[in-house]
Amino acid sequence: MAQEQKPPEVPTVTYTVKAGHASNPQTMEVHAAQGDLKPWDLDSKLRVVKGRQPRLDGKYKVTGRAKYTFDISMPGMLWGRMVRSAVPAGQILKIDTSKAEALPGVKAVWTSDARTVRFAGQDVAAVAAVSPEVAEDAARLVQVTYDEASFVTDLEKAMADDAPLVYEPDKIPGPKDIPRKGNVLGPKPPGRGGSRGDVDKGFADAAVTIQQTYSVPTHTHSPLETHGVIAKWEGDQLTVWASTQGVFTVRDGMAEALGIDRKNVNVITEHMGGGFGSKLAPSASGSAFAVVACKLAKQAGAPVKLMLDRHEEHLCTGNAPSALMTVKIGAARDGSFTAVHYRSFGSAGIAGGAGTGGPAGSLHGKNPNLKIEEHDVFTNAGPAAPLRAPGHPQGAFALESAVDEVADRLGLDPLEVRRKNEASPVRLIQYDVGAKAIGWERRNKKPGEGAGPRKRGIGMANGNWYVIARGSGVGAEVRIHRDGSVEYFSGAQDIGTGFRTAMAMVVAEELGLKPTDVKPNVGDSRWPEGPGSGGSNTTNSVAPAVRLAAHDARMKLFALAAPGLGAKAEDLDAADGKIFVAASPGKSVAFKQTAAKMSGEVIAAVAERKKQFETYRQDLAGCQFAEVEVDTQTGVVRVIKVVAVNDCGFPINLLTTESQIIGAMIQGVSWALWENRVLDRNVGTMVNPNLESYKVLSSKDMFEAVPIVTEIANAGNNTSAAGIGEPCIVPTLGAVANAVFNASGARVRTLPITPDRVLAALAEARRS
Amino acid sequence: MESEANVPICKRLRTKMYYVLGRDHVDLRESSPTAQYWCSRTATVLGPDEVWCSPEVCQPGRACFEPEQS
Repeated sequence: MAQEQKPPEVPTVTYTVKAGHASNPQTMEVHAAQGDLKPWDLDSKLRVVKGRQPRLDGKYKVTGRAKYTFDISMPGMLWGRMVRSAVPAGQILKIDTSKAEALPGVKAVWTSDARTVRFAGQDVAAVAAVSPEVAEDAARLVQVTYDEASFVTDLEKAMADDAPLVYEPDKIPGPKDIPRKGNVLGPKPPGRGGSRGDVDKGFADAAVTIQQTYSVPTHTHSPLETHGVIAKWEGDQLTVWASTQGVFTVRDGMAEALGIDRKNVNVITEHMGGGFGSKLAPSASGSAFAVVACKLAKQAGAPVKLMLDRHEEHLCTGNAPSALMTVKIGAARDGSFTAVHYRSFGSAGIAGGAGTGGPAGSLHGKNPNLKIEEHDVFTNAGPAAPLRAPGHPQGAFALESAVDEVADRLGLDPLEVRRKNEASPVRLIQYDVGAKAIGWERRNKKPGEGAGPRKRGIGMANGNWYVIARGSGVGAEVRIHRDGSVEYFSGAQDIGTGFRTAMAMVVAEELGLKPTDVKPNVGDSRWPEGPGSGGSNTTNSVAPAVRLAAHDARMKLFALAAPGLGAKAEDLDAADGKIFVAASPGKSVAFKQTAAKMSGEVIAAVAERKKQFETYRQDLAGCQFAEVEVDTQTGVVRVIKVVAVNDCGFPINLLTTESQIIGAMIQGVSWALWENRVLDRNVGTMVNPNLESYKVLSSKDMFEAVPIVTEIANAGNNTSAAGIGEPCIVPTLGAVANAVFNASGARVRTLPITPDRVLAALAEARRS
Repeated sequence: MESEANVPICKRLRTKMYYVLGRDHVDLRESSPTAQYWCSRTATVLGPDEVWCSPEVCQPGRACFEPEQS
């Protein structure tokens, strides 16, 4: 996970807050930076925040007026098209673009300097032409001559001693301090949670020990909107419209790759059609297409639009690493764990970062002995990219399946085994909430005991995440105009989560308005800086700055209202479009009437986020319960219902928070049952690079999705928000797999849980 | 040989947390088991020498290494 440095010491102010869950409040002191506000806590009387506000941009999205990068067009615009390597390994001997250049309508051509091919789909060349059709024709006319080399695309085959090497040893500078053998790198130093105690002693003390291996294939992000940009030069000024999770990442990335001043680069992302982590790099993890588009535009003297197609999206824009995970758990008769050994091998293709040990490092915190070993295995495949809690859904699937197997071996209720090992007070609350919502008592006491060929069952799994927030370098601006209208500005992007609406709610809360009274302005690098949307940090990084700016604007407005109300500005409050004396609400004046008193045209307040302070908890707890039906004659699994119980601190907008949780359940069920990138072992190319044969959950597969938010006054910043985008997908895979076992008695340890695997597992269960 | 804590890392190394937490709050010497790293020259996970990027390999001795002060 993150590699955080200790923040610099700053002068602080101490606030006493009522933190945690309402059922068990905890009084704690937090040390905020001077100038920061007391965090909203369990005693705060919030009028707007934590409510259910429909998206302010919803009407634009459903009527097609919302402009995504894909929708943007401009006069004289050219269409870019990449040429990608057709082979998975080898040397490029020649790139002949002469026929493409001669094609009428072709305005610019780019070729890569790289000569080594490491995966099928790597950047080789590009063209820009007057239409997408001409660009596609031109791309086909680029002739590439390769000296092909042997390759390996399969995780387990890449681990063999005689496997073709993705990186030749004599060309690698190190890596230092990490063991390397062939394509295998590791074990790497453990991430968060790490290792503790003495696992050998713990296993010696165990009454029962189970050890199983689980595997997950590579999963692609498959956002609705593919990666893409439009690049436009006006002299030295570059404007890039990007489908990105980080407008400032793209700004800096283009400046650094092109060798230009970042002040001359402006990046705009008004609406974005999904990314799930794959759009956190300046271009894509496996393609410099955005840089190439800028170069083509410069060369042609015209704007260039370069949107990747679905095929490319699968090949080079990132994926969730495959994983082969062996989990060994020792337990006492009562279900208390005595030791956990988690060992994983994963492939992020030509990149590293395939670790899956996060859940093992954080869950079941009462277990005294833990050892985590994570390995990267290089393969000739497109590089991974962060995908919604990187490595955690895979790791939780393995770990939580193993926990279920321990419970089965001991004849114990899996929920009680988890309670026995639980260290989080939040998750203990969630267990009760989730069990009640799913009807845990309905589960089969003996797996597969239901009558008939279609058997139902219920399973559960845990997930974890972390409170990740940017404590500096994040700003916001709030403007109150003389006509009483209000708008805010944040350079950060709304990646589809409802960020722009949530920030409007924060402004509305401070100013006593409705969210619909506030005009959002987001996703433009000319506005106050925001973070890349990764680690579930955007709301909890930006909202505190928005609140500070709104509070500053509020106090300036109160100063205008105070004389007429015969009170001091600090004695005023605002609600329902009025400013009033807090101790005497009948003494009030309309917000708009007060705004009209300003001497200029606008009250503008700019604020920078202050440091993150002590949190109620640094981890985000979650657990999910799934009900499935397994057809034991065909092996088909149907998900009936999923209950997700999650902690996100204070949800700024409960409606879009629940929307994110529902989306995660959908993506997780899809991962568990269908999604599987298949690379041809003979030619090294992807067999299913589309959304027809790369299966994702469709509307007919939809289930009853029940999102439940356990509100926690997190107190780590002035809004108590803590993040939701990622934690809610972590438990889903394991919950579905455990429900399949409870329904049928078939333990499927390899995802996706396809009918053939279910039937094989049923046969295995019958044999044993 | 310099101690691990003081090993210089190439100034071109980037990862998502550089832009999430901010460059002042990320120690790029410490490798994350779940992160992909990229080079700001190439804008992909492969450096100019066509080898992958990470804190362990983007160190002095690599042909494309650029120290922070240059």
